[in-house]
Amino acid sequence: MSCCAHDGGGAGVGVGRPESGRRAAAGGRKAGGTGEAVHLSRTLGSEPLEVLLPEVSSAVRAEVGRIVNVLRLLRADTSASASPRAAIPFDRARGELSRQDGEQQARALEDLLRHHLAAHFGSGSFAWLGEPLLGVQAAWRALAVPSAPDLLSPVSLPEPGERALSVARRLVGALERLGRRPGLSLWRARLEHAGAGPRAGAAAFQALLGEASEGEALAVPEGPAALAGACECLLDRGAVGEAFGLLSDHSEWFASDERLRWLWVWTLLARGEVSAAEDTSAGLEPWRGPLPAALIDLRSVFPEAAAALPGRGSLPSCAPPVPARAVRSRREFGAGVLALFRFEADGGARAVWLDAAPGLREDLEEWLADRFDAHQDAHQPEHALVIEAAVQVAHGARGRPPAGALGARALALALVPFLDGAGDVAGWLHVECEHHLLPSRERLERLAEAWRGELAMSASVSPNGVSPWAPILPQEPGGEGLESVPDPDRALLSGVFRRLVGAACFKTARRHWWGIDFGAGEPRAVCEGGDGLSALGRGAGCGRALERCRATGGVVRFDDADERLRLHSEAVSGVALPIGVRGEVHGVLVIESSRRRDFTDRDVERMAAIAADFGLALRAGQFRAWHLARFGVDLHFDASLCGLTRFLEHLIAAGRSREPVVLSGERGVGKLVLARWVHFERGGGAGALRGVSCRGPAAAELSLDSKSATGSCLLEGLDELPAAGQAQLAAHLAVRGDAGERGAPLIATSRRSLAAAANLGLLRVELADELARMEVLVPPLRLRREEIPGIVSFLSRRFAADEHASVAEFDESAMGLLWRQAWEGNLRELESLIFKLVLAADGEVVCARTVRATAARAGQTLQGKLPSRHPARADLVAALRSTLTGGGRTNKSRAAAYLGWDPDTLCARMAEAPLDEACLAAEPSPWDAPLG
Amino acid sequence: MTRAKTETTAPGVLLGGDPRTVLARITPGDPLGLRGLLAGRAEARHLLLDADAVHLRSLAYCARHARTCPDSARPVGWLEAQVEEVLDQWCAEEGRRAGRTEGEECSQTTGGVWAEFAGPLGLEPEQVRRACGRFNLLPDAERAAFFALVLDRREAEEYAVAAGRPLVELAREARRGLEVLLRASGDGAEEAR
Repeated sequence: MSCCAHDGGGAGVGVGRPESGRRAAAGGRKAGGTGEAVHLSRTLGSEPLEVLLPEVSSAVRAEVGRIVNVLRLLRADTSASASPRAAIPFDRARGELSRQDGEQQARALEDLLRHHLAAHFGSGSFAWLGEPLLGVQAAWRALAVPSAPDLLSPVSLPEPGERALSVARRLVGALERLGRRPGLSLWRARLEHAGAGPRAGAAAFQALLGEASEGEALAVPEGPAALAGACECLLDRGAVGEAFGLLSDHSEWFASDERLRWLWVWTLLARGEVSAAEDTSAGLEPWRGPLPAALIDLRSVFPEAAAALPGRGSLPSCAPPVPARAVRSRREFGAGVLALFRFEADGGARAVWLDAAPGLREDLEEWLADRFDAHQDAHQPEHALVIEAAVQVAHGARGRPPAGALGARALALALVPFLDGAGDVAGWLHVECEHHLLPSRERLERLAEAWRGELAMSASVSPNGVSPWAPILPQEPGGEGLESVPDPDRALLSGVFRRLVGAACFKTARRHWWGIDFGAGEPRAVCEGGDGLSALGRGAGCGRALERCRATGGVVRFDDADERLRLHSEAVSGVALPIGVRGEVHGVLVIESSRRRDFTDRDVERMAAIAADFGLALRAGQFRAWHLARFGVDLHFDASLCGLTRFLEHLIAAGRSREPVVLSGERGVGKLVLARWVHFERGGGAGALRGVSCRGPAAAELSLDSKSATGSCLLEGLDELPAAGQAQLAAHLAVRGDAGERGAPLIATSRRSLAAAANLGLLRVELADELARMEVLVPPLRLRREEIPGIVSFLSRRFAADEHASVAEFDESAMGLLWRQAWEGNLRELESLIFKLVLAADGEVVCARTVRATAARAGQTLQGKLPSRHPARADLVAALRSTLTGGGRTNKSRAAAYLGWDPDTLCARMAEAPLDEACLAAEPSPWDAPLG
Repeated sequence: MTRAKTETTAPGVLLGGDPRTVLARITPGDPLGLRGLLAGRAEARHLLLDADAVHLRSLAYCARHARTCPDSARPVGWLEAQVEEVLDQWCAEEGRRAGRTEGEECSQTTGGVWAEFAGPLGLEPEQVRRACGRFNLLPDAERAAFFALVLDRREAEEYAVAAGRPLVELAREARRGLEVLLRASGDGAEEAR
């Protein structure tokens, strides 16, 4: 061995001038031409350590000097002139050969593990095993030892059909047989993660971390990898908080490990800390490995943080799906809430399972109450869930939880439907997290399916409690149209639908529409139209769009052929538009097309708004049909009249409230008909409407059945109820209130308002106060003059049909004369006169003279005109409204004629009022009287 | 690069056959001149290593990959490539090894040349080995400057002219090599205490 200068210690290096050395070492000036460079050149050669390390102590410099000397020896030993110090024994060389063979096999085994475990984990896991250097085939080939080709491979090739996990287990076994090597414990932990799940995997990795962290913060080589593995397991099961804590506790390892830095970025993102995640990722090299599906989903949630989510997705796992089980613990997903809802027979949704974090239980009751009918609220995710029958996922932000979440700190919510036999939503799984890493859709769907099986959801329980779908359209191909079937109901209702179709004004080319009525409970097609679809195939679809529309009150549409949703087998797109009142769907207009995507968003929105406006008209039609069937008498409602719409909607609400309803008004105003409508709203009119008269001595003993829950009890003439009867009624109401019983709902009529009756001493004050909660004041006919022309025409047709007579037409003078009468007897009095006129007219046009003559024969004196000196403002308004032209403009000549005045008088009275005909719509309606 | 003398035995004969057979032929006396090749490449790349260990590794490596030699009659280029590969592997392994802290169990004990050279100078063999492991991962320019200015103590100005770069820059690079030793010294100081 030749030696270079063996200086020994620091003495051999020489002494330099530290200051100049520092300047030379720190400066960046060119060599030559400067003082420092010259000094450097003079001293470096002889005193390199003093010049290059001026700041260290002499002791340290001496030690460095000794190391330098060793390096000189090492270098000399390596030099070309040196011969090997001793011949290398062949045994030693052979041992090295075996060692290299073992290394090759170990690397091949590790690469195979990477391939197989990656295939097992798939795209749904955060597990990252490193990038393999060899492909699968090359790695299997590399297991063959070049130096001993006859030696058996440490592990056999996979058997046909052998799962990746099984192969991985054998690979780890082979690695173990190769002997102790770094990283083996990590592979065991990864195998645990793959085989037993993320919880077991996290425990295995954390055990390694525990070993690494014993004593002072020592880090075994596997420390950062074990930390990464533990975090990956925690993120796989949604334990974002735990992953965050674990990473925070070991942040000192971030600097040396790129994977840990990226896991930190993704954990911040999952916690909603977008800015922090962006800032941290800004300084990192782009992640080149695969990105788990949960993070790829976050790209759409945080588009601004795309740089924090680099990488590609990977293939789905090749592992067989684990048999789904009904998970009961929210901790399986790191969730704050896990709940299972199911639709019950009453159409509402109730929780059949609930696991919520303790901190969220305070608001639980209110939240569960909200979920009951959330599917009918377009702002709640349950609405879209039922309409689409598909998973709904929503992400919020800090301080803005997604709609439908229980917790104020919720960041993500998933609703997963489980379907009944007909393909509709029978219930759903509600998973809510305080982070953004929801379980994969596939996993959620399998969980929902497991719950469905456990709840035996094969029996259909649709949101409205009706039995599985039965075809609603006539099945006979080429059969007659719906309206050819004699059915007075259909005739009444089809008119509403046809007016709606006319107002919606949509093209019918290649389209067909159906008006579906739900008045009788079961859906029933009452009319149809359009020329787009053949008669063949009618009713061949399942028509679930209809049912979903009814359940949610929302528009349901499909833009591609969907067997479950369509009514007609040829339909490839369609829309179901709800028609209803106060959130309840009473009918649906279904339009289907033989063209794909035939309905634009704007069209659907427009038609839906028009359909909604026809809700009251349809409901009125259903009531008319029921009344006709029940009492044999048709009715007249003009829902377009100003104020009547609001009145009827309030009446409907009163009917659905189950509180006692009192209808107050003069005799003959129609209280009985409205009471029947209230009864109709209570369960569709099923059950008897039992009338109880409050007049006469017998009324002292009221027969109020508090036990019966069906039908309604109608008290007629409440203001004439004797004191004893009032006491009985008050006691009855008190018992119902205390016991919480509902019994037969009470409806009452009164000729006086409750307040007036109480003031007159006819009614107990406390009884009047209690019943005033739902009092409906029905205005007299003289305040509803606008309705008279319509009522006259209706009664004329009705009486003509009843009496097999000709329909009487009324000229302007006759109509005006009828219009301006006082009608003390209200509708009954008017009906009586019209009946006589129909019989008297015998098909001729009725004029004012005929009306006067007929009235005189009946002993009625008709007034020729309304008082013009100080007319009631309401009369002026009514006259103008009653005589509006088709374009909505006033016709003062006709209005004056109705009043019995000349037009100048009308104009003068309008000026005096003052009444601006342009603001007619803003004038109050007689139906706008205060309601209970 | 220094060209090593090769034996006159036809290389095709030496490299033919299975790895154990090849190994048996190329180990005694190093007929392929691997030691010389190794020395030349280590010097050219300014590496500090246990030449015997690397020689041993090269022998086994060449024996294992003998069948890949495209022209056994003229194997020099192939041999150089194998030696480069071995040096790369050695540097990577020693670098990883040096990155671990004390207390960790090493895959091979630190004896041999490390003990032989470091012991007499009162240094821990492991300390020196780690220093070399870190040193070999430095950029080539820094290793070259260290070799020239520290190990060889070349004339600074002459070296700067030959390198065509400012002396201060070269000094800075050489210092980085020394900082690796300083770090080793720090570890060693801990060890001594």
